[in-house]
Amino acid sequence: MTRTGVVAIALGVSLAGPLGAQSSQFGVRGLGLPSLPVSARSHGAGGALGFFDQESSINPASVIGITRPTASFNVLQSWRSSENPYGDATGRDTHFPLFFAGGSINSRMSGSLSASVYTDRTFGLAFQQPVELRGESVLATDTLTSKGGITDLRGALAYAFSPRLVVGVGLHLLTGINRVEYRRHFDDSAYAAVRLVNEVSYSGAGVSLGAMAEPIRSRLQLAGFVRFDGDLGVDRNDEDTGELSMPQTLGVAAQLTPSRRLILAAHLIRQSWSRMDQDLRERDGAGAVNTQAAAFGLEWLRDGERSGRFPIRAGVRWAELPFRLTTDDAAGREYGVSIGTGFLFAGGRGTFDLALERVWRDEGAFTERMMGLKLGIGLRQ
Amino acid sequence: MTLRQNVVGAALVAAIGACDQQLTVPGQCPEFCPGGNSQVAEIVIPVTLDSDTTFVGYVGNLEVPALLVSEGIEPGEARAWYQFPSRPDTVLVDEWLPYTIDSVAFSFPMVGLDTLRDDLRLILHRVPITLDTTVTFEEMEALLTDESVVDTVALADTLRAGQVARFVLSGDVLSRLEIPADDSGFLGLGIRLVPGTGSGVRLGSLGGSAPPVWTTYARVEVSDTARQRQSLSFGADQNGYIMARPPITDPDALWLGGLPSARSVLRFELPLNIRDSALILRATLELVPASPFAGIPGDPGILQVRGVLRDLGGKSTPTFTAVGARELPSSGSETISVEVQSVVELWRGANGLPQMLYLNMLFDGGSFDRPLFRSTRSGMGAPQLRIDYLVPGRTEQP
Repeated sequence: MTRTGVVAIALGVSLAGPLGAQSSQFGVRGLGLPSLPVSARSHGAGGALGFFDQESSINPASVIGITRPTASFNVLQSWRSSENPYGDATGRDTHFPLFFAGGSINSRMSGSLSASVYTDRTFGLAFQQPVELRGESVLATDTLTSKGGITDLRGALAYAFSPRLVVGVGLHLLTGINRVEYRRHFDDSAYAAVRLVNEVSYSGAGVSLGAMAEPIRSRLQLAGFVRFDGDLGVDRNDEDTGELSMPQTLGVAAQLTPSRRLILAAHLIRQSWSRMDQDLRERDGAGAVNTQAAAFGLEWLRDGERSGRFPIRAGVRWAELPFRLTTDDAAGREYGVSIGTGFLFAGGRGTFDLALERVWRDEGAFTERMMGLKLGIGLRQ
Repeated sequence: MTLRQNVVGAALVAAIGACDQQLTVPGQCPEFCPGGNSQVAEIVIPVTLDSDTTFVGYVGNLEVPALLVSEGIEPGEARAWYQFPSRPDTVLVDEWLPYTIDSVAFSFPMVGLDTLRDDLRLILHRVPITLDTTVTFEEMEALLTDESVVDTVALADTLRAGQVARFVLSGDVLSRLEIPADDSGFLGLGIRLVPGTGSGVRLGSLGGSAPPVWTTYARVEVSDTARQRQSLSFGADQNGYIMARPPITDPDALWLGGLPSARSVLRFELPLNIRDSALILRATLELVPASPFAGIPGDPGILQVRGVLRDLGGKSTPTFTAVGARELPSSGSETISVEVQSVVELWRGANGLPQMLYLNMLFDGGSFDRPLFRSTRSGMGAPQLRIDYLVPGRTEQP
C-alpha cells in the first residue's frame, strides 16, 4: 500500500455520501436508530473491543494504535424481520457504516479521520386506513419512506504520555440529510394520489476526550471517554426549524489479556438523550430518554504468533433505544450476539474482517429480529 | 493468503454490494406518524360574485368543426349546405379532352351521429351556389323542396363517428347533378334528414377535421383503355348550417355552444391554506342547469373545463394539458359535476395560474347541446367547487 493509495482512500472517506446503518421500524422516531461506530473486528466481539480498537471511532485515544498509514471501510448487509400490531414484514438493506483513515504523526502521536453513522433514519412504512370522503368510506393507502440519517465526521489525535498512558481528543462534525417521502393513494380513482417530499438536514459539532491506561502491563487496559455535542441545527427544506439539544456521552471499558491468545473486553456507555426530550415533544414527537449500553466480548488468537490468522471473536451486547415509538411504552431495547474472524493478506498489508450478528429489538408489541453481516477491509502502507 | 481467499473475499464484497433494499414494514398512526397523522377535509367554494361571465363569438360558420343536420329533436331543426369548387369540362389525358360522366360519389366524414338509431337517411338537395352564411332557416327550407332533391341516401347502421359515409350516385340521378353553364362548374348541395326522423347527425366541415369530397368518375375517348377511366375529386370550399331556433341567451345565466359559439369563465378564490400547503385530492365543479338539457341521446355533447394561463376575460388563453370533461345528458335538469382536480392543482403555489375556469363545448359550435347554467346573478344555484384536500402530517419531523 503506497502513501498515495492511503491518501486516495482518505479522500474517498471525506467525499463519501450519506452513510447508513441498518434500517428499522425503531428508526422512525427522533433522529432514528443510533449506531456504534466500531470496525468489523470489534463488531465480531459484540463491539466490546471498540474502546481499544484503533480502527473504531469511539475512543479518540485508541488511534494511538495506528503506526502506519491505514485506511479501511466497512460494509453491512442486514436481513430483518419486523413485527408489530399491524402486521409483519421482512426486509434487507446494505450500508456502509464506517470509513476510516489514519496514521502516526511521530512516535508519540497518531491521528485519524473517520466518517461513521451516528443515527440512521432509514425506514419504509405502509399502512391503510378508511377515510370518510363525501359521505363514503374510501380506503387510503399511505407509504412513508425515509432515507438518510446523521453522519459523524471525526478528526482525532492521540498522544502517548508513556507506553501506559494515552489521551486523545476528537473533533466531531455532525451532518446529514433525511429525505422523507410521503405518498397516499385511494381505492377510488376519483381521488388523486398525492406525493410529498421533504428534506430535513442536520448540522452540529462536538468534541470527545478519551484516555487509555495500562495499570497491569500486558494484562489489563482501561479506557474511558466523554463526548459533548452542541445543539443540532435542523433545517426543513432549507428553512431553519430550530435546534435539538444533543446528548452527553460517557463510556468506560476494560480489556483483559489473561494469556497471549485471549483478549476479554467489556464496556459501558451512557448517553443523556433526554436532553432533547422537550425539543422532540414540541415537534409532536414522543420524546427521548437516557440510554445505557453494555457489551462483553472476546478475541481468541488461534496462533499466538500470527494474530491475523483467523482469530475467533464472539460477544454480546445490550442497548436501550433513545426514541420511543409511543409515550406509553418503556424505552425500546436491543440485544445482539455476534461472532467474527478475519485474516491478513497482501503480505500483512491488508486486513479482512468479518462479523455476523443476530440482533433482537423490542418495545412493547413492536419486535424485530435482524441478522447482520459486516465486512471490513483495511489497507496499510 | 491464498488465491482462493482473495476470490472469496472479493465475491463476498461483490455479493453484498449487489444487494438491493427492502425497507417497508406495515404500520399505523399514531405510532408510526412522527409529526402527526394526515388529515382530510372538504370545502365548498362558491364562484366569486359577478365574476362568472359568458362571452359569444368564438367560432363562426367558417371555423365550425361540424355541420349539424337534424329533424324533429328538442335542440331544434338544423340544415347544412356545402359548395364545391368549379369542376372543369375537360380532363388532361396527354391533352385536355371532354369526358362522359359514369357516376358521382359524395364522401361525408361523420363527426357524430345518433348511435342508437339504425334508420338515418339523408336527403341531398341542389341549392344555389350563391348560398352563404347569411341565409335564414326559412330561406333554407324554401330551397329544400321536392324539386331540388338529388337523392335520398341511407347511413349504414354500422357507421360510427370518425368514419366516412360514401354515397355513389349513377343512372338517372346524374341528370339532377348537371351543372348549368351559368354556374361555371360550381355545385351547391343542401342536406337534411328525412322528416320525422327525430334525430340528428354531425357532418365534417372545412373548420373541422375534413370537409366532404365530391368525386366524378368519367370516361374519356382515348385508344389506351387503361386511361379511358378518369376521376375528378374536389373538397367542399364553403359550408354552413342553420338552426331553426337560436340558442337561449340570458344575461343572468351562463351558456355554452351555439353558433357563433359561446364560452363562459368562472373565477374562484381558494383559501390560502389550500393554495399553500394542502394537497388536493379531488375538485369537482358543480353546475346547476337554468333550463333542461336538450341533446341527442346517442351523440352526447361534451362540456370541457380548462384553466387559463392569464386572466384576460373572454380572451384568456386556456390551458391544454389540464382539462376536465363531462358528457352532458340529453334531457333532464340534474346538476352537472365535472372533475377538475388537474386544473385546480395548477392554481397552487407561489406561481400558480389564475384561479379561473374556462368552460366551452368540445366541438365548439358543432354540437347540438347548448346548455344554460345558473350564475351568481340567478339568485341560487351558482357554480361552486367542491374540494377534498389533505393536510399532510409533518412526517419529516424528527
